[in-house]
Amino acid sequence: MIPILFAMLLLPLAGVLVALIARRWASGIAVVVSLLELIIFLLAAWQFANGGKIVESYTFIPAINVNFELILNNITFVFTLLSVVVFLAVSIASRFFVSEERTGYNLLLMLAEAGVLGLFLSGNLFILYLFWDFSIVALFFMLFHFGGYDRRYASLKFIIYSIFSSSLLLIGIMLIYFYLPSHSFEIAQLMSTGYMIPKNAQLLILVLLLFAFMIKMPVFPFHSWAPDAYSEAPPGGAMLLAGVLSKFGIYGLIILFVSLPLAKEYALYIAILFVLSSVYGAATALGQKNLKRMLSYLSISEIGMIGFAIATMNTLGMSGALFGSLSHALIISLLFLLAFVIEKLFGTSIISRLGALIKRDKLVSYLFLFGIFAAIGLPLTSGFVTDLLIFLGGAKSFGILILVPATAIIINASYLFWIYKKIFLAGSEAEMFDLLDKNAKASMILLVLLIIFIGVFPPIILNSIGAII
Amino acid sequence: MIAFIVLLPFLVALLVVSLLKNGKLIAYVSIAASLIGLAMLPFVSLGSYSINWFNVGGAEISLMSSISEINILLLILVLGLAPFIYTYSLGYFKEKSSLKRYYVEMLAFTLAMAMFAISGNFITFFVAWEFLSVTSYLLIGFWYTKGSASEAARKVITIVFIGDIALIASIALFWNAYNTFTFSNIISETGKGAEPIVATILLIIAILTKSAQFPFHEWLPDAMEGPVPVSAYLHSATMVKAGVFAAVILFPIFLHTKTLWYFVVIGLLTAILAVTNAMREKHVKRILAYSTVEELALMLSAIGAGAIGAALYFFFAQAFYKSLLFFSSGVMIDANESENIEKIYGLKKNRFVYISTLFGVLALAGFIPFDGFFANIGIGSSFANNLAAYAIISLISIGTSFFIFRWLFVTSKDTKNRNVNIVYLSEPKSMIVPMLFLAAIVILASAVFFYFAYFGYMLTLSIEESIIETALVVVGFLFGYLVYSKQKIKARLGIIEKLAYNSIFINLFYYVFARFVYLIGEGVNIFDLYLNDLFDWFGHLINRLGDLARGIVNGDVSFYALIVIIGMILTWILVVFA
Amino acid sequence: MITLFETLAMAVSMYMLLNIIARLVNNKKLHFALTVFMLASIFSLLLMILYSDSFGTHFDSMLSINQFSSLISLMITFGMLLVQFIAYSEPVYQDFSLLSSFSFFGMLLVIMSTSILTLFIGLELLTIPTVISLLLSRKWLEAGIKYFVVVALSAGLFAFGAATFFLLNGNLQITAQNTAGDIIALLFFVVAIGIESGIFPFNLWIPDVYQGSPGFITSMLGGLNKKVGIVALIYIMLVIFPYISQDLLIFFAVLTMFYGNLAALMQKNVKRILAYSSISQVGYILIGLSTLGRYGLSASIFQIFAHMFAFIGIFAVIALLETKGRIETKDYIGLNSENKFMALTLSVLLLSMAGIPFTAGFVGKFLLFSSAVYSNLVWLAILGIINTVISVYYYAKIIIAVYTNKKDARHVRADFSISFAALASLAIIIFFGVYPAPMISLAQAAAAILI
Repeated sequence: MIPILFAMLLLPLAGVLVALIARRWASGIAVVVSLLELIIFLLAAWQFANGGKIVESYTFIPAINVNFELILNNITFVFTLLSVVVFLAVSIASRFFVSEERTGYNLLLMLAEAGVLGLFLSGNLFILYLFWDFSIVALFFMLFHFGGYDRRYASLKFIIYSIFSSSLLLIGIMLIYFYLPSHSFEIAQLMSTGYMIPKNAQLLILVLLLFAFMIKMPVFPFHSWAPDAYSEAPPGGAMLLAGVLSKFGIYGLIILFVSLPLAKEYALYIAILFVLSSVYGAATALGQKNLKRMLSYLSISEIGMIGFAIATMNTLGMSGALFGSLSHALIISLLFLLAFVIEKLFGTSIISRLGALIKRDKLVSYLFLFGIFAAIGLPLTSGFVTDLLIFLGGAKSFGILILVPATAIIINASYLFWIYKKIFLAGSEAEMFDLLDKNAKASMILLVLLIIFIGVFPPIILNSIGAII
Repeated sequence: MIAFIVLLPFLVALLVVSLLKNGKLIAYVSIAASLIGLAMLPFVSLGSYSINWFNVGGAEISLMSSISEINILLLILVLGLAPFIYTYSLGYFKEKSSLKRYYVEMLAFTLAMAMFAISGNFITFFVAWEFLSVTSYLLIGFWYTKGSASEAARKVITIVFIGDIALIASIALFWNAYNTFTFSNIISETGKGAEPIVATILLIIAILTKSAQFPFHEWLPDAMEGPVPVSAYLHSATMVKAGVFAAVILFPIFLHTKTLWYFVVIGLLTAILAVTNAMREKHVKRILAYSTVEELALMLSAIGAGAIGAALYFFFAQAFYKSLLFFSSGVMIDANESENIEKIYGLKKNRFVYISTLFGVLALAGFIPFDGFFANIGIGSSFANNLAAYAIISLISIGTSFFIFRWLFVTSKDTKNRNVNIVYLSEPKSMIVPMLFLAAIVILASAVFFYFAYFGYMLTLSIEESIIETALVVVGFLFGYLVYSKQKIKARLGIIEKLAYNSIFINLFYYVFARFVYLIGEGVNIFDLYLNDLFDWFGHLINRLGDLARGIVNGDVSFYALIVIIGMILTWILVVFA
Repeated sequence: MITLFETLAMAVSMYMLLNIIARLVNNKKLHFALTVFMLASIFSLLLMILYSDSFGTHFDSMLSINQFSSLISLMITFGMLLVQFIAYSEPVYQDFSLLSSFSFFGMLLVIMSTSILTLFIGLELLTIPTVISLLLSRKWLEAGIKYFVVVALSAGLFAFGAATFFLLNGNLQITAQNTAGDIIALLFFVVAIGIESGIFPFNLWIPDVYQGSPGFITSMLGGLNKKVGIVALIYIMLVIFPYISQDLLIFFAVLTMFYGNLAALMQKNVKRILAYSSISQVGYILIGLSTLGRYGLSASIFQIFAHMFAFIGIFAVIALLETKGRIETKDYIGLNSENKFMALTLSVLLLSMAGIPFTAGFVGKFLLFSSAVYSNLVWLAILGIINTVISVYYYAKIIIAVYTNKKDARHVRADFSISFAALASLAIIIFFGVYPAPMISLAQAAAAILI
């Protein structure tokens, strides 16, 4: 049996080596690597669809009971898929955005890809932690070296919050190992025997991990790092942070809820936390003057809804959360990509300085409108399926609490249409400094097509998810 | 045939048109498609049909059509008016370059509207409903370079979207209660006991936003920024009626949850507000828009009173004369290059246009033998048992007659301006011919009143009703005639006049509300910045501690040795006493 | 048949002797070659001893080779080797090499000691030559004198403690004894060794001395001397006085950690930052010791290993920049533009000290904190991670400076010896970060011997 999952991990590392040798082709290598990743993933997915979950295990550190284990099951499938796609879009788009120090940037990109895939595919909490921090560091480097004007502050804040989050996770992992009867780091063990952990330990683990994930996703009130980090990041970086890294927290949250019965008991309170964050994100976005900051709050708002979906603890909600993770990753990456395109083409991302862009670039204008519709849940886009599943699952578990995320969506729609008018339709024409090239277009179209594809054919994803609860 | 078939011509046309470049060709293809669609209508069979989309954990998400006679009624409107609208559009748009985008959006709209008309479950309903909002947004803001148009589009979709989300929340709550999306199932379930009140209220909100009722009614006049055919099709005959249609289809839900009175109260209130606005409005299309608001309001109140048949007939009849009047306004705007009725002249120059317009006006006012007459009778009779309501309705009728005749008289002034007159005489046939057709239909539709039993409701009229109706219309006409045609009585009503222009108040309310929401946003933003600062403050705290820590090391090694000894002593104390 | 141990003894003696000779000959290259050769031989001997299990006590039970001592000795030897590489480019290299060979001997004595006497001899043998090294140049005088004072204090206290201990127990063996009443002795020992190994509040001398010393000496101070001190601490606290030590250890662990990390925050001088950072690392190691269990001890052993090489490697870079006069964080700006390899090494090693995965430092931290959690000292682990977060701040600042672009950057050439030291440290840290299994097993075996 070919170790297909292990291959997915090794591929970016091989790409790094090749790029170190052939520096000039670094960005091309990154694209090739991402493309190959997608192909290998599809192969793995096909194998998964036919044969059930794929498990690859190698002894690693027997002394502390850690195996290097990679798993492709119905949950990790979605996260791996979204990572592979976003990385592909990022690597293609970066060819448009990054002109200086391409080698370094693409090296970091490939390292980050290895880290992210390692995390989502890992079947062992220890390994998961390894890749968690590793991805953070890779993104940290990307952030402070290639980022915007205020990047020093943003990256310091990012790494401190992130390390704090991962440290809480680390303690939680250790506690899990200690209290599980089988004394194992394996995620599968955790999910199946997690209920055996004594109650007070469960509480401690729940609190630690919940806080850790709330910082990562991010969720109010631990979200302060995100607007700065997302706005100051380089183009690919923001897409990765918002689209992929936020899913670390979502993934962890799903594992948490599936494993610990105590989480079920507190589900209502946790759900309220998330929907409040959702509305908070929407409300804060209203007053933003910078397009990228506004999008980061939009991301916070939507993540809150996905967290809410997880807290519903029923199949509909969980499927909605998983499908929504994929959908959110695609949509937010698309919107950030467009924001960066605007910034590159027109020199600024401050809303008041942009105007009548539709006269300058029709493609960007139409795609942005598409992005808005996808974000608010227009049918035939993935956003609709997400919203529908979240609402159905939410209604089933929490009844009229769904009115809170509903309000958040309404607020999101109102400012999104408002800025659309302000940036694209009204005002005086902004000066154009640059032109789109085929890389940026390809990247955007890729995301758009996928959003439509899974919006029209949700069974492709939903069948792989199956029933989780 | 299964009802989804009617969607096919529009879908195909959409695909074909996106590949074409020639504006005229695109128009012809669209018109052809609409005719094919219409031709399919008689073959649509009653009953249900569903296509499975996806299933998740016990929820079956399918697209379902469920055809009863009522659906056929709406389909007649959608498919029947489409050819006229498409044809008129061909003549209306002078530069053919934007025709492609227009027809793509129009075809998408028609597709969605047809899907809406045949929907049998909430999923299909919602998908169509959302696309109605989206295409409406696109079409209202069609001339996006025009600031007022983009702003209007934004405002419309922001308001309507509230209803969209209310709808999906309602769907989820209904599903939670009854575990089904199908209309027939839900309707039968609501009779049995547990009434999902919140879901119903949300559904009502959705209806109110879509059909422009209080307090969401101001979007309809603003929607007039869109091209005339859009106003004629979407915002008078079809899309705005979606809410009313939903109220009809889902009537038993409201009946069982005892929420029908909402419709009556809100409907009557909206109608009063709309009529008073229409009397003062000067924009030629906005008057018609307020008129539509009033009509929808009356339909909803009739439904609230339980007179579904009357409401349905009104629903049917109004579509034709309203779109006809919009067509006419299109001609007026063309000729006069102004949308202000005081600056519009010369309608009488083109006899075809004038006669058609006159038909439309008479129908709207409710003159015999036009279909409006029968429609108004139906509405009046729904409130026959409540004197107060009947009185209000009657006053509304007078007002309606008044403002529509005002509309006619003011716009049909003569002029010596040759440019204006030439345009009137040279309007393309593609615009005139549909008007003539509609004018004819406006009379023929009257006949349908007597055969309405086909749709399930028996409609009758009595002599008293006829006399009252005619009287009301004539009174209104006289007022209008005296004030505007003969200028005999100057309309001096002072404060009442100002109050009548109540659209100001509602718009002011919208503005204040929007600013309020925005202020909340700013407030939250400031709070967020403080939260941000918390992190920095915390960092500073740690740094202060750091300064404290390193302060101990002062460079004096004898001090270090002293600390060692002190430390030793303290440690000893610690060990001994702990 | 000469036993391996005897061969080892001979090798060490040869090492010192050859040093003396080479110094007299006054040929730097020869001296260096000999040093490297001897250290490499000692290293291989130790390796053979470790893997052939040829353990046992020698010299009238005053020295003992076992899993623990051979493992630590192995690390020390390789560490010393790297220090030699770093020191090579210095003008005082030959004197330093001679002196450090004596220190090396002292280190081995301490590590292999089974008697407090040998421990004492080793400690003095270890520290005095270092003091002398610091007196080799006027610039380092202040540091040298300060170090001398603390070493003298430490020696005096230790002697007093040894005397008390002998009085109470009748022997000087490092074995588990009934020492319930020996608080005084314990106290003296702890303070004395605490001075050397850097426990708060006995470590106030460290920042000044580390900063005042040149890079290569500091690398030895923090990388080797301190570690040996910790070994001594292990012997004293865990072997001789296990029952009375837990609260004490926890107390010191917390204080030391926080002190080190907090004080490092506002520092500008890179060596000072590293000095405080190494103090906090000692705090972490103490956490492992405070669990009083095998797992915790093995964790501390691993962390000793990880920190040792990270520290030495970092000082390779620091030594390089020091010669150019760049001693503050702001002087490190743009290092990446000048020498990518040095920048990478510095960053990765700093990340190792911060506990980022795929570095040995992370494995050490993981083992340490998990040992705390498994011994029901969860709050201790939480304090540990709070410290980790604080430390990330100052490590990140250096890394940001290093990777900030400098406009007119000219390539900074690193000598071969410095590069080798950096490369070796980097390789070790990454290798054992990705594949720590063998080292963990060795550490666990070593811990099993002691407790």
